[in-house]
Amino acid sequence: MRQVKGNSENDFPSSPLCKRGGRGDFPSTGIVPAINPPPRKSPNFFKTFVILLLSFWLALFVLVPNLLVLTASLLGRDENGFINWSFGFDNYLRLFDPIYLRVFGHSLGLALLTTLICLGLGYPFAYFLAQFRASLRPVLLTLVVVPFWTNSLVRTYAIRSLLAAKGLVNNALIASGLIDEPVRLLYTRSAVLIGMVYILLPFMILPLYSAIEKLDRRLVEAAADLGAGRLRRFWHVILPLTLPGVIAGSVLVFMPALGLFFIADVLGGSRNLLVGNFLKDQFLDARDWPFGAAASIVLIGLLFLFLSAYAYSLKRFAAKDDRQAQ
Amino acid sequence: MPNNRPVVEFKCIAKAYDGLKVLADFDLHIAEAEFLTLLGPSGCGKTTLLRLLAGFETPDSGDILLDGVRVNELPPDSRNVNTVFQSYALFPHLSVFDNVAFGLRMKKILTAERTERVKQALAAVHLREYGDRKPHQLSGGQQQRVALARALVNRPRVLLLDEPLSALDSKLRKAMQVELKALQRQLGITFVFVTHDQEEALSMSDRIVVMRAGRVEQIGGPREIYEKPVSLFVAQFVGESNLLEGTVTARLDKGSFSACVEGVACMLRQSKNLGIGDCFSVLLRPEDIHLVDPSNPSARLRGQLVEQIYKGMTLDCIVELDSGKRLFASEFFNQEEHAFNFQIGQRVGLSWVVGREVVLNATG
Repeated sequence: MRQVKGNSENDFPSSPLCKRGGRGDFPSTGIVPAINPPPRKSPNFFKTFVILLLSFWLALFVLVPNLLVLTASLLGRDENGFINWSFGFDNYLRLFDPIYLRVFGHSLGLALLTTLICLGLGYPFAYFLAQFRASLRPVLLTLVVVPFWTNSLVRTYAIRSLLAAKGLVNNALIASGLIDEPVRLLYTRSAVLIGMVYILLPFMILPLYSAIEKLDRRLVEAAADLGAGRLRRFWHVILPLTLPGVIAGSVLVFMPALGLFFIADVLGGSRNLLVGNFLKDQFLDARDWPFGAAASIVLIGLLFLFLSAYAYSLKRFAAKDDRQAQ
Repeated sequence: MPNNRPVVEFKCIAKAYDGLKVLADFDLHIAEAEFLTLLGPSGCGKTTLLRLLAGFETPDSGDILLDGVRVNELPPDSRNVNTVFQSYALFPHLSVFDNVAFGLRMKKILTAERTERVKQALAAVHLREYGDRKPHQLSGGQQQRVALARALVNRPRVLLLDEPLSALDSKLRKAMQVELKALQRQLGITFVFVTHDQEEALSMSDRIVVMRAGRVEQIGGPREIYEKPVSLFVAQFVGESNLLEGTVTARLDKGSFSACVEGVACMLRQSKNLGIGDCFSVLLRPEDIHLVDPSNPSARLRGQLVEQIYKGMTLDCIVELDSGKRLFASEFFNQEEHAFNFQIGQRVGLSWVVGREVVLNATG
């Protein structure tokens, strides 16, 4: 769509004397520079090798384990050897127990809430980040990524010490006179939410930033020119055009939020059980592998659905970009 | 002009970016329903002027009046002014129809009237059948028309056009020039057109403002700008030109003087106050110069024909004067005249109608 104007560099009409006096402009003598022959297609061993290696890797560490999980989910539990060879869908049926459904619902709700909060925090953040001077932006972007340098489990424990009864937050609140007694922050749903948002926020900011940074500022100006105020510029132009970033960020936050278990473990205590914790418990504590496997398969199926929706939306946007580029 | 009060007034505008002055003491009045062109090289401040008027920038000092009301700090969405952007800036996620309807929708115009006006606007730019398409499905010229319709549908007091034709190929550009001018006449809307293309400026404008380094160099009709440039800058920027160096040798009566031009004695018309011994420049348009036989009494300068370029309508010649300076002359084919038969390398004389030359101060 963007076309470079033809002769912006050449604003001064050059003097006819220089323009036509030179030899260069005269009808070509027929000596056309030889066109380079197209590069010969050679069997690209490196490419083949890399593809093969990756396929092998994925087959060994993704496909096979998942098939094992799928198989296990269809088998029975055994006290000694983890599984016995009794085939059936019992494990899946057991999942429909209201207790487990509630865990699923609770996890979905929390993941959704996490995503929404991350979006609410991340969008303005990414938007203002994209407004900064171009030279400053990489620095600020690095600051967003810096927390990744520390293990997220360690950071979760740091939050725990902040939220504890005698933690920094409570101490500060008491010192400021707002409260007399420490408030219960830790081991609540909110604590898990805070931890999730904290850990996952960068995954929202980065795709949003890249979408917002690519936004053509002139379109926003055009909207203003046509009478759109601040809010309507956002709603009618900025948001629709940065939607791919919103979707990408939401998927990147939502999916881990469903599966993360250590945050709920560390900050939520025993009352805030999520799907991730449930899975971990089945495998490590209850030793009911087939049941855990069934729950895993359901979760994987769910994530697969979300990912497909994401891929589909990306494809649509990509197709649009392609056509625009022509 | 139907109305004496200008639609737009720039009063003593100054604008700087990062300490770099783009506009300084800029004054300009734009009249009702005129086609005004801001012409100048890039960096002369013409686009900044447009952005000030659109509301994307605020002046550092001075006032901008729109219909007599100061609009310095008025945001773009509250000004009855619309812009056709150089990049068109069409909304890629909206159909052509919705792009054009955008401004009306923002003004909360009811659906029935909105649809009607959008249809009219699309018809005016010959895109009636294209409402359902997305901008990326259109060619550059069509996108340009959508941008035009999107701005005009709002019936602005002033339409600002920021080099809207620069991305089009030359044939399309010429066609659009004609169409733009016709639209402007038909609608009676004030157009402020920014370009660095002098031909575009000459062919469309009622008035041209030639700008240079943030100041007005000359304001006038296309003819005035072309035939009576006030400075070397304007002369060289507008149209193709030959510039000769001269010195005044004697003053004659009736507004003419004799001078030494490129080492040859010449008689020239004078409009400026030049004293004997003063240096000046003479501007000669290529189409005013005729090649004649060197012995012809009308020959005022002589030189050697260096090159001939056949252009279809014209035969362009390059003549090297005895002083070494090269002149460019466009000879129109005229069936009644004898065939033009000078050979490259031959000596020729150059003549022009006295008074066609423009005498400019050498300091320009």
